[in-house]
Amino acid sequence: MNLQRFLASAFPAAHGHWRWLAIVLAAAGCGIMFFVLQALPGRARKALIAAVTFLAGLFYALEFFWPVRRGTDENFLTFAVPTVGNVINVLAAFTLGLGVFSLVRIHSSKIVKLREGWPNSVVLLVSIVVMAVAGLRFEETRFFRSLFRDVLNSFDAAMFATLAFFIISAAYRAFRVKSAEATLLMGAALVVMLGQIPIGQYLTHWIPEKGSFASLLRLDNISNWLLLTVNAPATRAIGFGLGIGGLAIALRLWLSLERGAFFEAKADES
Amino acid sequence: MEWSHPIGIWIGAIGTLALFSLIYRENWLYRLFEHMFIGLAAGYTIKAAWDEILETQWWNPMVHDGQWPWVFALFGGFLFYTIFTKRYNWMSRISIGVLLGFAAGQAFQATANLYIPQIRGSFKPLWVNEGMLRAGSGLTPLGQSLNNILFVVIIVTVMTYFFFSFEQRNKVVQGTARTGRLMLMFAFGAIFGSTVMARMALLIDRVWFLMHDWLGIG
Amino acid sequence: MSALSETLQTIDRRYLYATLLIIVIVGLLVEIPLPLAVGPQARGFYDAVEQADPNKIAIVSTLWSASTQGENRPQTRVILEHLMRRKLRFALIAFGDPQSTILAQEIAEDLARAHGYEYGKQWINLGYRADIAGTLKGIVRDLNETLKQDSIRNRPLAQFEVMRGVHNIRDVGLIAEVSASGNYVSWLGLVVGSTDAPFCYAPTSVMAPELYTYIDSGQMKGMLFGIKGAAEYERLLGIRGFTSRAITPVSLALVLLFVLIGLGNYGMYASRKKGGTA
Repeated sequence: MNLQRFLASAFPAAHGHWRWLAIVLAAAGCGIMFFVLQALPGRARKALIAAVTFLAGLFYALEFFWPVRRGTDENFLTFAVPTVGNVINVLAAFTLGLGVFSLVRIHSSKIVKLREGWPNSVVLLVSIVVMAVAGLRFEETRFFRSLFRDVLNSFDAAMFATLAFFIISAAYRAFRVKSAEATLLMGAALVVMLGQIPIGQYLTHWIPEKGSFASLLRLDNISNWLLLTVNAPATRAIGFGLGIGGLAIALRLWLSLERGAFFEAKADES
Repeated sequence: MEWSHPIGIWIGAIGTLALFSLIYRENWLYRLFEHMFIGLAAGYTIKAAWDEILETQWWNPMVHDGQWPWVFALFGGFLFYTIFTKRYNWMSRISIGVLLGFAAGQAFQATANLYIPQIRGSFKPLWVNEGMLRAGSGLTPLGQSLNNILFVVIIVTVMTYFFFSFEQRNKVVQGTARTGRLMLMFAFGAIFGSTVMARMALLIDRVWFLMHDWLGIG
Repeated sequence: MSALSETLQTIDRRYLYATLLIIVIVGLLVEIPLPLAVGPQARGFYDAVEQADPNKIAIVSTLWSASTQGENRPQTRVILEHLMRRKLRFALIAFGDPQSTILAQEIAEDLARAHGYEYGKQWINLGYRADIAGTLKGIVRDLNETLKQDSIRNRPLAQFEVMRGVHNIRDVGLIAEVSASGNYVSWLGLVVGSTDAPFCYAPTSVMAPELYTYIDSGQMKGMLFGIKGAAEYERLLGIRGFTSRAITPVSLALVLLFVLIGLGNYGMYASRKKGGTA
């Protein structure tokens, strides 16, 4: 049995009026499913969530581990990879609206109840509408382009540019060399950064870049050496730990072994 | 078509200065432009989510190409929004579970492809001869050997430092872990310096915008 | 002396901010002609583009927003400039932040005018995708089925001349990503093992040190170290863009940082010597 053919026959494309009928019926089915889900007792809910999580992860895990057909690099699940990727994209796109929905909810409430700062909330909601309408309806206009490029980009960049001031102030106040580790850290930062910037490279630019022992003393060469031979293995070792930990967490999530107090309590409510 | 407009540049410049006013003190002007920024960003998210993904990958296939099963994706997306309700918010875990499940399933391949080359690359030859040198490296065999030895020593010492499965009582192990800790300081120093460089670049971009695009200086 | 050492440790932050601002403004106005050595990582990136298969398409992935445009915009610009000089066809794709797709589009349009590149014939924008891993897995198998249509004209990919002969990742000759976050994990984990195409990365300076391990293992063929990397690439291309100007205030700001840290520590040690509190 070919899975691809089976799915194509189970869910055939609908055209003309049948298309709308199929959509309406499927939507009605979703509505019924919603109430059926709500009627489930607490244990069944947990089991359902665990099953759904497991099946979702099983697709990619199976697709990776299942042997490929001779002469190809595909197995019986590979055909579905693009479609599943699109499904995930669509679901993720719906999640993009969560933040917007939350913002609208909170700030609408602020305006209705006239809480402190409500004029700013009006500005926020108007900005959402203006940008959304401009982007969806007037994308090809200079108005939208300027709104995006000159206004949104400027504000976005400015918010993060203030970090430069804070980092200078924080580094000056907090960075006190009181231990061997701090000395090493500061020394490494100084050498690596001097080797990356032209002012630092200028100090040793008269030394040949390659071809003699003296080139070992060039700041840019020292900086590069520190990054490749000292920093790289250190971050690689950290990466190994992260990789093992990440795989363990992924397994625990896939098998629903992760437990959180909030969700445990909520899932038991019926 | 041009991307910029003088009025847009003026609004952007005034907003930039208003947002920069935070470094002196939080004030009403900063809060006003902060809210405007959040609103514009959220509005753009709506546009991008529909234009780039939902219209092309969900709506068109469902409505124009007869692929009616995409209705179920709407149901899955809708379940996310039940998180805002008290009674139905457990259902959001179904959709979250789907996304997490997919991500977890991909972790096997991702971890293997990411770390196996790293592990392989960590077994460096401790004694290098002329034929093993990379073209254009500019190093002698002795130099490359010393580099490789140092590389392996650092990996081992740092991994020893992060080994928390049992208490490190042995003096050799403790010494190794301490060496690893010192080696980590080089990595953190490099990260610290480059973080400062990154932040400065962001500020320089904004100052250039104000000087060049807005005031026409430079 | 103890008053001085106390002052050195507690300089008012407004003076620090003002000094930083003045240094940046002066640095932008007064270009100090200093040498900039091109590092092996930037050169590796350059060589990868130089040696990219001209019969295959290059994918340029962008994962940045205006918040990091100080570094990522010049990086994107130099990469696209080089691709267009080499007359390579390329496809833009964006992940992470929805802004990336338009930001990259703007840069590509600007350069396309100068190089006579026509949309749909030599380059294309594949748009933004919210999910990275699923999309990359799909691209490895079937690019057209995964992405379906372009972002600008909203037409099926197969209708564009630039996508002729492009079916999956094996038809890609180069993968370059400009990123403000750690998306390299997805590319390396899900794509790089399935293709011979070199993978090159242009991160912000914050992320760059953690990527040297991938340079060492050969998983990344080249890397642009933030704004400095973009400046090095401009040198390799023989152009003097914004980055070449911006590297001066970056250098001066870093020098200021180390001077301030030095002053603070000197103040601490001086007051310790006098028996004051650090």
